[in-house]
Amino acid sequence: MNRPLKGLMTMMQIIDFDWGAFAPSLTLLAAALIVCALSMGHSQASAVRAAWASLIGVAAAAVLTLMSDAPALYFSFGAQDADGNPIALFSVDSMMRSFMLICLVSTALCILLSIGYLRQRGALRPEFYALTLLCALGMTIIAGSQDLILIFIGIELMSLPLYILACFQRGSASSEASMKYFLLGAFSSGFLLFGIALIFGSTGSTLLQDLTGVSSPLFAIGLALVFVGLAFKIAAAPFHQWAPDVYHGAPTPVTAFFASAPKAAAFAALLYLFQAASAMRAEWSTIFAVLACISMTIGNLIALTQKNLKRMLAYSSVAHVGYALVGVAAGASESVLFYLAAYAVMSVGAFGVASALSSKENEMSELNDYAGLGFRRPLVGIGMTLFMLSLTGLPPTAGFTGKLLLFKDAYAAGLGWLVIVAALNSALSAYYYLGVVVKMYMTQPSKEPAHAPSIRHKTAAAALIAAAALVFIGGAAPKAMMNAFHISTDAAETAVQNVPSEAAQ
Amino acid sequence: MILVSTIFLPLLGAAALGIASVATAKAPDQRLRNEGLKIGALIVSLVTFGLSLYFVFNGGETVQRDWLPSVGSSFHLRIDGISLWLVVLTTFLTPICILASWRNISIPDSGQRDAYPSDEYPQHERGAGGFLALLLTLETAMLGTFAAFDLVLFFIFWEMTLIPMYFIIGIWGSPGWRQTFLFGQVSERVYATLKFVLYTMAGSALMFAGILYIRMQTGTFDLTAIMEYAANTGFGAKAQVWLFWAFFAAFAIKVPLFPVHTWLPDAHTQAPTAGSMLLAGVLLKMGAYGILRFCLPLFPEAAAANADIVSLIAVIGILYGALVAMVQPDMKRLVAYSSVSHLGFVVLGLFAGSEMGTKGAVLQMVNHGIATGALFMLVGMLYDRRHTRQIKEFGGIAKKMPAYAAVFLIITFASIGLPGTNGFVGEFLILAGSFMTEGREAYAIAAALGVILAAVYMLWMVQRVFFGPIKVKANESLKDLNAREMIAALPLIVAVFWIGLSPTPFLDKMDADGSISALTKPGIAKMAMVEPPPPMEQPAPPISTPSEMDEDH
Repeated sequence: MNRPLKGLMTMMQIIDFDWGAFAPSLTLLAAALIVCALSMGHSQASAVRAAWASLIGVAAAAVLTLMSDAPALYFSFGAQDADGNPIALFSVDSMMRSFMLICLVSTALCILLSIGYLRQRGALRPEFYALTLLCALGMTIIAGSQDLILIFIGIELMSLPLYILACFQRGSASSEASMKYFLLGAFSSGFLLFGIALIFGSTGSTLLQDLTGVSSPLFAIGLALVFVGLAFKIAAAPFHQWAPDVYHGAPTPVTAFFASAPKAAAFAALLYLFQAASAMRAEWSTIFAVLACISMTIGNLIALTQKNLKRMLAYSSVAHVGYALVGVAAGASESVLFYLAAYAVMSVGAFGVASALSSKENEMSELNDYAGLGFRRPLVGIGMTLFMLSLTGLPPTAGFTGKLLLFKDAYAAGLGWLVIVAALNSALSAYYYLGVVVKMYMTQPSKEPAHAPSIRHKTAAAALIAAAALVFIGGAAPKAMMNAFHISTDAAETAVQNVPSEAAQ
Repeated sequence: MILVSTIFLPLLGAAALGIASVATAKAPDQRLRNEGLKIGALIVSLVTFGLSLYFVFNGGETVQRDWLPSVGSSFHLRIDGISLWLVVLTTFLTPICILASWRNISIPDSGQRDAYPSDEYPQHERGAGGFLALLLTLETAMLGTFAAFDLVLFFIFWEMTLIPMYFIIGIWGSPGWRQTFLFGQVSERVYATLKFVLYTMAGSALMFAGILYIRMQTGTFDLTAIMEYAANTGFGAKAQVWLFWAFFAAFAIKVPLFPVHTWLPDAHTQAPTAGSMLLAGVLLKMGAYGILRFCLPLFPEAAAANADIVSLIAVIGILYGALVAMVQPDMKRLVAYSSVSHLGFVVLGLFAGSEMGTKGAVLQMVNHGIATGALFMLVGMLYDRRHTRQIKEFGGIAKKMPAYAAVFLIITFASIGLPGTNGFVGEFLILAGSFMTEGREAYAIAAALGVILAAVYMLWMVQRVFFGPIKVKANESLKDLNAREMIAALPLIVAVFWIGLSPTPFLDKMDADGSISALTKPGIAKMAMVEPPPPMEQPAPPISTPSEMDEDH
């Protein structure tokens, strides 16, 4: 499933445009426009219509992506190089589909979570869904990009709505989160753009295929800056400082969204670049391994001391980025994909429980709010326990399968030390994940509330059930989960096929 | 097919119990509902026991299905001589656990007050459905651990045992408070259950890394294929040492061996009766079983090279556990430390490198499961009556509870290893097996001291609890065992004498398919190579067969 390398690309059929292949993205665009039109009427009813329209749009895009099994297609949009040959700017292949599915599934779950949450706070406005759809569109652009400029456009299209979503429920914490996110996001975009400029300066091209085999100091510096920009976006330590504040301050469904879809999309860019820059693979691999190590350890250690669920999950998300980076360092894209899919559903689930239980009076973001909840709300308790076990990486959950795949590939890539660090980190993380379970089942609230928090909206319940089902399927029947996310499992064979054809060039 | 149903029937039962208990949560007669749930769980566990007996009469069984081909892992289950008795032990103990916890499924009130408001039925029983469902889930996980013949599957079942036990200790455990770093003041049982999980997970993390390394080397997770690889090609000398210690760390924590045993007294003391019984009876055996199944056959040279260190650790555990047990004021803690001591014997036997020692170790695993499971049950029965386990609170209760005292005494003898009981056979085989191995005599002699110490701490406890005058007034009104408790204790007593008086069939079944002799023969040869003079190099097995053993007593 590796992207075709230079040389191989010339053998690929590059076409201008194809409606069928772009159907999912176009559906998203159409839905975004429709929702924009709906937001003219500024009533509660139009907002609900917008929510459902956006959900249908995302679901339709996901179904279209899932159904398509055409071979890899490359698109030039009419662009040509100096010799008049078409150049591949965009690709629609199975890896792009996997990333799209991860993003779309988590977007759909977050839309479901948001309806009740926003309505309860009187913040249900149609713009929310227009922004979400545009953000999802940005992700699909990243997922298919074969060009640095397109990647940048995709990232900006994804990020700008996110800044607004972070402060959607106006309030000091939310605004502070949004401001922080915007400043650091803009800063990291600067890194990204500066890096792209340096890469262009050293290679004369922004096409990913032209980066293969280049190794000049300028190029290396440019690539490093791009990686720093992306590390900000995925919140890998030591570029994670914004994450806890933003995750804490943003409305909870938006936090769930932050943790899942945009992260997966930024990982797509990271993986493509890592695969394209083949000349200094060993060096980059070491750098990513170290980054993974720092991310896991810092994320888990700080998460240990958190007393606020959202902050704790924010640091846990830093740690999980570290696990996924293990796969990047090993160059194992399928395992990274599976892990991102697993992490997306389990983190949406965990944040989703907080979001679904919260009310205007009680945000349900402190760990103490969960004391004794397991017995008063047994189904919620079981669901949250499942998400926590999955985040810990205990079988039979998607989190375990994800780690199994990652660690296996990391071993194969000769990163045995990293596997041991990662495995010990998972054991360490059990302490705070199980801490949530301890709160739910083994402690009593200091004073018994009149009404135990409950899930009041069917949409939120549906999202949680879907997330829990995916987490469980990922552990009990990993094959089904892989098929659902278009993750090809015969990775070894693809790699073997690629090597001789490359040698034949 | 029988194999799959034996393992997964309890899980199905657990699911059914969970659904039934949620569906009837608002039933008007809660007592009827809870009794129904308990009877249901008891029937499921008895049927499972019946199914498992099939393997005793018809030998083992193998099942292999496709499961996770992309990783190279298959659904491979097998019961052979090594796992046979452990499987039967698990299915045998579970119904007894359910019987023993019939009247004490209760959630202490976070320890603010004494948790058990009264001994009457309906007030204190809480969460019976969840408790029984977790108990049955635990049974599936334990059976799966013993039967898994694929490393990933083994690891999944191994970790799966953590989850139910974590809840069983954490929710239904004992009352009491403790200060912790992260959660502030939490109850003792939460502290204990987290400690148990974190210790085990730290060990499993290393084992997981080892498992993946094996996959790298052999290209498969299948244990049969890996065993062939280990026998024909073998892992490199350096890799073996790393792998051996990675696996051994996980198993040593579970057993537990001396320096990493500290989770055990806490977990045992805080667990409810059924939790302690299964923890001591079965979960600890998973560690010893892992050593026998993985460490010895897969890394034979590393095992042989490190046999001395491990035996030393085991002997330290035997003596340390016994000495600490002697001074415990709490009966459950005393029994818990006695487990540290007894499991030291098992590990010593496994590393004796002789067939006799290995068989003794496997038998001793079963014996310890029966005797210590029974001891925890008996201490639990006393706790149900008096809500205390302090030895000084008792004294002279044999007058009030003669049947209880008799049962307790029999089990104590089994635990000490008096001839005629099962404990004698196991300990004797282990000590003899160690003594007859060149260079291992000193350990056997030191370990024999542990047998004497066991008699000291157990009999001293029996004397202080059962004999002398009744000093505490509350003990005047103690009631003797009722019919349910008798029924729960009877099979354990039968097992004690059955194995004690006729151990041969048990020992023979272990090796009916040659799984133990296959394990130890290369072990003997290789361990003998480590020693300078080779008295054991004759191809004929140098150790007496079980029938000769019988004549020895």
